[in-house]
Amino acid sequence: MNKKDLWILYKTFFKIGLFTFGGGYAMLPIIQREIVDNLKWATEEEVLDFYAIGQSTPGIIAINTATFIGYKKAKIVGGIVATLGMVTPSLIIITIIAAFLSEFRENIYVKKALIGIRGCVVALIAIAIIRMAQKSIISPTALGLAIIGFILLLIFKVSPVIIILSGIILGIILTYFKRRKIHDSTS
Amino acid sequence: MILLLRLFIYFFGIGVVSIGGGLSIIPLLSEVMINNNWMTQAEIIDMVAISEMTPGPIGINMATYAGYQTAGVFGGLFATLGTVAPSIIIIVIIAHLYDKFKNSEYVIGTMKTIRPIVTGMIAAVCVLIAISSLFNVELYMQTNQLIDLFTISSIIIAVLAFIAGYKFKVHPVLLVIASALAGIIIL
Repeated sequence: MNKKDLWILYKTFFKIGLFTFGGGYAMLPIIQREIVDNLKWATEEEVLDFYAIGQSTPGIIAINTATFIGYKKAKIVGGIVATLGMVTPSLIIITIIAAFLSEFRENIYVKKALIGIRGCVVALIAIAIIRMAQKSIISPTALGLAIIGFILLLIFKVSPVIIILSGIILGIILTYFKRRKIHDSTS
Repeated sequence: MILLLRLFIYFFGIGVVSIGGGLSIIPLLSEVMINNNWMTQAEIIDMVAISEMTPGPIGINMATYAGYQTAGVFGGLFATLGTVAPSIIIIVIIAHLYDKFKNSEYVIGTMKTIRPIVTGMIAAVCVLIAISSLFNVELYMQTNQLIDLFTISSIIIAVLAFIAGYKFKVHPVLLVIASALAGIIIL
């Protein structure tokens, strides 16, 4: 790991932090474009894995995902650098607003820009989902699991942590039976 | 100096208990700020609104804002570092284990199970965000005019952003900037 890669890592997550509006979900499209397509530092599946783990462990999802990707590229230093890149825009922007712009909340242009951005965020997440579905929904069982995850969260408002932990237990059970089946058929 | 250290420790605790989404830290954060007489209830409402309106993870924006209100620029810095420290520690450990066991049958099987579930969950979040930003249910309830149910300008921006991003592969950052400008110009 050289200094140049660390700088790219910092710069990339700075960009992601600067253009992520409305929670960790909105960062996915930029991560896919920058980390998966351009830099090829992680695969689509890995980003999904990092995201799943980041959502079910303590800490802010966006920071957990950043640390994960940074660690993959450059171990502990990478994790720290990616996280620092991610929080730098927040530190600068929020400090300026808290110090000088007490009327920021009421500014009409800010409000209008945000309405535009909100429409865009819906489109961006939709595109991210299509990409993810192509890599994750690869069998009828997977399609069923996706529908279950969708309904549990949207209709029954089950906590994401519980859904993912249940998924982990289910995955272990399914793998156990699959192994036994292979074992039985070979012996 | 002692104040900065206290901020770091408090926000370290807030980082630990925040699981799944930055908004989950609001109850604990407001308790800490009000009990220490660092912020008033009105300031907390301002903090949440501004954190949602600005780029970056919402949890980090709130930490920076609260830290700044308590102890200026360094307060914002220490509160933010405190919030991300647990993520870095926990994720580095998990990332290390993931790296070590990623070829184990159980990890592969479990991840294959979780990926579609997470895809479905993100789709559910996308629907929730779409409902709140593309539709105006409150206005429709008041007027009963079907046309009032749709926030036409946001829907147009969402559709255009989707086409530009999905079909023409326009970079997500450009889409965010363009939609902010579109909001300012047409609304």
